[in-house]
Amino acid sequence: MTNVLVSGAVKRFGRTRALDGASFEAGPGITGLLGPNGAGKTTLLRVLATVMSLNEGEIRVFGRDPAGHRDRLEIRRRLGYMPQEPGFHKNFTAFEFVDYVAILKEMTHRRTRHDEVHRVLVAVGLEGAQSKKIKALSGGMRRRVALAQALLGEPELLILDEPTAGLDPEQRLRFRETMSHLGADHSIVLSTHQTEDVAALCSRVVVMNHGRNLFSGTPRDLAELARGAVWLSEERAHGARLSYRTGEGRYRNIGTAPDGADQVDPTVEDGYLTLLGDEAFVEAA
Amino acid sequence: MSTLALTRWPSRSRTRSVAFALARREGPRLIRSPIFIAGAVLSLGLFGLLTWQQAPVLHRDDVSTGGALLLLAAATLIAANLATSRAARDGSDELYSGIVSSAGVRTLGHLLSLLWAVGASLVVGGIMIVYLLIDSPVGVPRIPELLVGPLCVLLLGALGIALARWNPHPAVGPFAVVVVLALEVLLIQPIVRLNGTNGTAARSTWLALWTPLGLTNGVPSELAIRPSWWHALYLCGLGALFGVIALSRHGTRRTQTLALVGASAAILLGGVAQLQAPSAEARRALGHLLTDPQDHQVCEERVGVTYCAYPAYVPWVERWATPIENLFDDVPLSSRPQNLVVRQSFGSYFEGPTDVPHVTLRRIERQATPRGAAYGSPTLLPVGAEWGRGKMEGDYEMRSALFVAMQAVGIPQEWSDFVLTADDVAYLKRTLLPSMPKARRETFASRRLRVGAHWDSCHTSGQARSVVALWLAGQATAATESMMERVAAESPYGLLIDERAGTVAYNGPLSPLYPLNATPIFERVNLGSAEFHYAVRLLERPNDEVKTTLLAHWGELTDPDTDTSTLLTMFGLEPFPTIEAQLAALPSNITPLYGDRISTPDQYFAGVVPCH
Repeated sequence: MTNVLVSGAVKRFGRTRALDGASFEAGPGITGLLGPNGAGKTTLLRVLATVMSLNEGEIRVFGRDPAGHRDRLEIRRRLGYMPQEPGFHKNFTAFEFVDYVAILKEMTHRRTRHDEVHRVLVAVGLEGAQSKKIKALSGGMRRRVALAQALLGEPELLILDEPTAGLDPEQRLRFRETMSHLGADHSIVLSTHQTEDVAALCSRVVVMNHGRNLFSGTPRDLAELARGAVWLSEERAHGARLSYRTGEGRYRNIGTAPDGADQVDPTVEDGYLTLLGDEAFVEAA
Repeated sequence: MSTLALTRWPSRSRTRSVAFALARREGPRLIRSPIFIAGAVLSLGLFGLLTWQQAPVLHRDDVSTGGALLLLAAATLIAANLATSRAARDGSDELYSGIVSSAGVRTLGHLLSLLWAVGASLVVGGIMIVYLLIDSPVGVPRIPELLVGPLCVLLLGALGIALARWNPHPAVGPFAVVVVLALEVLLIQPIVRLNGTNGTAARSTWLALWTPLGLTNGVPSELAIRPSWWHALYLCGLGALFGVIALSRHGTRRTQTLALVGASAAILLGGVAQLQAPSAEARRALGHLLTDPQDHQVCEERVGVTYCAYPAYVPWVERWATPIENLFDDVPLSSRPQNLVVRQSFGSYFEGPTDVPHVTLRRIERQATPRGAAYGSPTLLPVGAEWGRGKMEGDYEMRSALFVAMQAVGIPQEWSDFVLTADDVAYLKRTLLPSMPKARRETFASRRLRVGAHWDSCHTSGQARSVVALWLAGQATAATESMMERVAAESPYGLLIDERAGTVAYNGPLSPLYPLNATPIFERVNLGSAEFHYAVRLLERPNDEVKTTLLAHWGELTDPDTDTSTLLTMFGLEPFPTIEAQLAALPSNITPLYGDRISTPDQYFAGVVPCH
């Protein structure tokens, strides 16, 4: 079942085309959006979250067109959105903030709403910090508050813009745990710079650049794009587009492997870098 | 950026329930905000400042609640403005714009949250009323006057929300408060400018949020026709208008259009109606209150004295009677004033506008000369529409007590009793004529300076009965005693030497009871500075001891020819050094504060003759 369908999406900001014919599809499970800065990921997510409209192209969420008033309301009732910068009210406690959003999500029955707020705070591991003011929370905890508000009402579609940005490794693992549970019966679209997250969580991955999608498939498919182009060497390989020394003391190279090279299995990151070509290597360097 | 803003609203029932749920969240936050709490504290402080010196009159002080709550209303404007602009300031708009409830619903929630602010203002207003109730108030508070404060809270809160919706900058709220308060001051200028004069203020003052009675509480509210209900309607209309303006930021719907029409109608109807001048008949009725008080007042007799009060003030008879009856206990029965009537009088001099016809006020003013009956007479003690509270109660009690004490010891109070003797004429010729133009001297001397002619005032300086009268009045109540002690501390006898500044000043030989000047009768008779301070010394002694001696020598001590030194000997009091002696003892490095010399008592008494 396809919950999200975008085709030929064009979004302009003045002369800049943030989306330039992007097409996208997402169904149940977790779909990751990968791409360098300015690729159009956030714009695409804003469009999906009905925060923004397209200049051209077609979008359907749950089969509904968000350009229509009633459809837009219905879509909003069924999705949870976590923007890159949620804009916390820092004098609110975590509970108050999530509760405030819950009200805006039409949870008007006080007791039921409070139960739901408590549930989502527990789900993101914030039950012990719910009465702390947001200004007193760490960056990671704030991301969890942002995630908690998106989870309110068990939305069928979760749209998460860089949910793991600023999280430490432990928090990221916790996040993955939460997402993997949710992904079992929700549609989740998330953007990230972390290819490990995509590899660990996503059943599908879309790579974007310059407002267009370059790739759409499974993380394994993305990794396979670099098959035969990743090898290890004792010295820095001069023909490699990117070469770095690993902790074991050997160099891991990506590029056109010389004959007889010690080739290794590519990762999603290798595939991503290979897909983006020179631009990615310049950015990575 | 083109966004998918909700230009139409979700279903009405959902909108309503979300807005109410938001209000339940925002309302308590609003009234817990430090700005709102500070506004409430300042409002209570201002109300205390406006009322703490006056015995409460509920149908006058109800007006003050509105003025004091303006501060809370201003705080509500800022707090509501900040709450509404919070999402824009914190950058939450992106998050909220992806949620089913629109910004319009949030605005509606903020508007509804003002109900909490209004509730809190009712509590603050209630505290003000309780503060009045604990001191046996008179009158009944008027509902529309009590509504002004809460309505201003609602109105300015709605303004704050509207401003935040159109410009979320955090400085907008404080700036709006400055503009609103400046407009308020500008609109009530006609009242402020009328301070100290009689007249009718322009009705345009009612376009302000709050219209005071006067700069102070000096205008009896009975004399002002206040279109309070119309004003409340006008305020409601303004509040609704600001609410509609706030909601119109998110598009319009039919109910908003209807609300706009209703708000405009309320503003127009209330605004126009409140600007209408009162009818001539209503104004004449007010004049009748002043000119014929006996037609409106209730009288009761207590211990040989008749007290007449306007109906609302009847409970004050107890306050008026207390110093008089206490004093009666200390004077021989034969010396008590006969046929005394204590009658309430609104007077003719108000610190603010009234709606009494000018012709009536002028007529009363003409009577209120030192020679007129309105100044009081041995049988008429006028009391006003004010009475002191706390520390100030002594000032008011002192007026009544001293009035009766002066009669008991035989000090004349009426202009017709001030008759010049040959000595007086000689004294006045010596002290007054030299300072007059030569051309006037002869006419003045022949017309005014004749034995048996009436004079405008007299003094009892040097007369023992002056000390007796002051002591009798001082010990009448605890408040009169502390009032005299306070005045004595503020105005010590004789020369005031400031050694640090190297200066000296002289308070003069006249009684320092200047707080009593509001009672005109005391402008006619001055009791003497030394006599005042001797009376304070006597007040320090046991009351019974002084009273026994006083009653034993009543006839002698109240004789106009008995001088103060006799009384000093009788009570064993040390006489104060004369001013001349004090001047002679001044160190050489001390110089007069004003001018190059100190006036002598004689110079102060130029033109003032002793009472006989």
